[in-house]
Amino acid sequence: MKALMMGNEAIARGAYEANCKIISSYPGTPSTEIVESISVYEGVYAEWAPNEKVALEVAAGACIAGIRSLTTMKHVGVNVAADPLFNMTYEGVNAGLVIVSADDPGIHSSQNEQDNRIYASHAKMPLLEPTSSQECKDMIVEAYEISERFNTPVLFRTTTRVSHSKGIVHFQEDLAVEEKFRTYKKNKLDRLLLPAISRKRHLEIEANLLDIQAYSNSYPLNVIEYSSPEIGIVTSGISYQYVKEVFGDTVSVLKLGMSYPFPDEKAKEFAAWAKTIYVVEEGEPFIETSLKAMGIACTGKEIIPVCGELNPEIIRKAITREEFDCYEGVQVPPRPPRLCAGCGYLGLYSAVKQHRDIIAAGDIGCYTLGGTEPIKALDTVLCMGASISMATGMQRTQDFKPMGKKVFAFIGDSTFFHSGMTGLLNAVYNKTPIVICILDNRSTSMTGNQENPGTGRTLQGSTSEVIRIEDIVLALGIKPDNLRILDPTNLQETQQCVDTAKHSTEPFVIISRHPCELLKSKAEPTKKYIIDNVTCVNCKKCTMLGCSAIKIVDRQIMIDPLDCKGCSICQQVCPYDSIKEA
Amino acid sequence: MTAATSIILAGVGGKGVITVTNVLSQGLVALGYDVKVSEVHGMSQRGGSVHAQVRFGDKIYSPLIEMGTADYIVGFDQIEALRWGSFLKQEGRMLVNLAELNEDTYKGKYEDNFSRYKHVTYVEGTAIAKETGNVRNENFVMLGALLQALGFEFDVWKSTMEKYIKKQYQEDSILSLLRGMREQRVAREKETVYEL
Repeated sequence: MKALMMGNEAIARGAYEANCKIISSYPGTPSTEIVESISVYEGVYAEWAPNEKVALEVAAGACIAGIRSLTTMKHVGVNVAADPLFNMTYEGVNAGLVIVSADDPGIHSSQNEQDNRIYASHAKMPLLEPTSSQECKDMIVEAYEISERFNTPVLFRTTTRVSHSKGIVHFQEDLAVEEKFRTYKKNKLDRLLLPAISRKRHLEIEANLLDIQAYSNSYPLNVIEYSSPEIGIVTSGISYQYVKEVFGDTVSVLKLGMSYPFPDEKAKEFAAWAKTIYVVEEGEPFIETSLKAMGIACTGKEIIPVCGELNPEIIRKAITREEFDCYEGVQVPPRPPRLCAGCGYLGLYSAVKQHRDIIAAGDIGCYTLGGTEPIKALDTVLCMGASISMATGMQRTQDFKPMGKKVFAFIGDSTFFHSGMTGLLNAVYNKTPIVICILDNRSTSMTGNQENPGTGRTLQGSTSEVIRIEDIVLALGIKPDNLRILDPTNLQETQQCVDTAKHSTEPFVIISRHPCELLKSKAEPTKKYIIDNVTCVNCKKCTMLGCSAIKIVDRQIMIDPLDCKGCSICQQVCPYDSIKEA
Repeated sequence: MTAATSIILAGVGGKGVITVTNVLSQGLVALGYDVKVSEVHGMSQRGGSVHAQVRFGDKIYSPLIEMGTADYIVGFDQIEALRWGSFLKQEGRMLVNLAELNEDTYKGKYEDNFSRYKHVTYVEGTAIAKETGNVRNENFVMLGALLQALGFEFDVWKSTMEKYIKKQYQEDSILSLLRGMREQRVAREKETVYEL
């Protein structure tokens, strides 16, 4: 049968068909839907791990114990998991292990646009790059075969346009998945990465790579599509689709489904046929460097940009210098994403913003939007968990060059579980007097309200322990006097709390607890607010909250009744008592 | 081999762009076309601009539409339609919902820009959705207008709607879709083609 599937759904289908039984991941755009999709198949165990390192290690344990496993993550998540990733090549697998890296060229929802294909060559593991939803399904099945045949983890790299585009996938609906597992041999010394063993393993890995390269030359998805020899294009991933869109069957194409180890014989064969060779790849010159190292003349990053996403028009313009006639664009105001009306973060940021002497280190989540107009409460955002550790470093500079500033960290509940706990431990242990605001909205919201250790529910819907953030914080050494738990929609309490925390000489934690608006039912809120335009003097205090329900119509501030959630934060900031319950 | 048809659907988060994209693409699959859809998930769900690209035909390669090649741009409001204007091909058609853009940032500032496009259909999507009893159904009015412009018959889409829209919303939604189809038929009859 056939179905329209997102690349991520097709990966899930493929993993299921390949008898992958154990899946552990941390959510991250654009990878999240793989795990959500596979979790509903019969007979699989899928979990949300607190971070990518844990997830990869869980998958590593499962494959070594003899069951095919999968871990999926966004490109920057692979950085978190880099330690087990690099070592798993040395460790080897038993049953197959596939690591999906969903890269985000164009930076739709990330901090950077790193090209994770380079991890494959660096960590010495085979790399597969699907070009469509159908290939996502088919190649995952092959990835497990390759993993087991060559005793290596396989890096399966998608991009936003592969993961999130939908295409038709043909599959066998009533397929009986063949349940075969590998036996586990205890005390097999290979699994202990001690120096003597790792030295031996390194030699084996290098020899193995030559075998995989030979396989790569015969791999059916490393394929030459012969056409006119005038122009030859080497490409992989979604770029293949763009090349076919622009050129159809008028040029010859070397399509690389497996670009590491590099299929050198295939490349030579192509170079002997095509007169002029272009390399069309998104991101870094990964394929291009391999071709040039072999002495094959080609044009790549000279004309194809390293930065941003590719698309058909970039490729057309670069190679043919042609473009379609377009209507002249109209400059319209940008509509960036904003915090939801009623979001608890609005109250906390409002209270913090009143203090010009607070430096605010942000983190990764919806609350990162607190750094944008009109809230502008955050000074830095680096990576998952960095708010607390960066705050520590910034606070320490006050001993040397006092700026009269206090440093606050802002981190969400899921991000705290992911990699905030060690930063907090460090601050307590080394007595750095920072303030850590844990924005506990009871959900992993930005990626679509996934479960996390604090929610008391697992990915597959069963109830679990509710891990209490206050208990963790106290266990990590925060004194009970230096811990406050508040509801950020109560502005007076929040302001007092921020003031107390600012003057603390010891590490201080504020748990700002208010459930995510998106978790609430779609039923109309029980109360709404309106602005009395007779007494309103347009001071704009309420508009500075960043609430998306507050709008300016005919030069008057109004609250859109369709959007208002009745949180009352705006009513509390209004100095003229002009905001009232409707 | 028939050429690919390319459609951009553009709106803001929460207005149902993704829902109608799903109905449209599933219906096209049911009709036997090759279909590719491009959406971006993640931060775009937080009230900002949201768009989807749908392409169908005998064989589709790229999920992304090239500038100057879109056959249709379906704007859930005037601002989002204009944002994608340069993707429309010269003979392509804009279908624009006349949304109530009363905020000062938008009001009265952009309406005049549509005269540059050769084929524009204005759809009273918001007003019609209100009449059908649910203001949130403007997305289905726009889908109806698009399906009519594409020359499709209602019957196929009724069954697709029944399959992909929750039962309690079906009646309103299907009514809105029908009204959108009718609106496009009427608009087509009294249309002015701007000479470029």
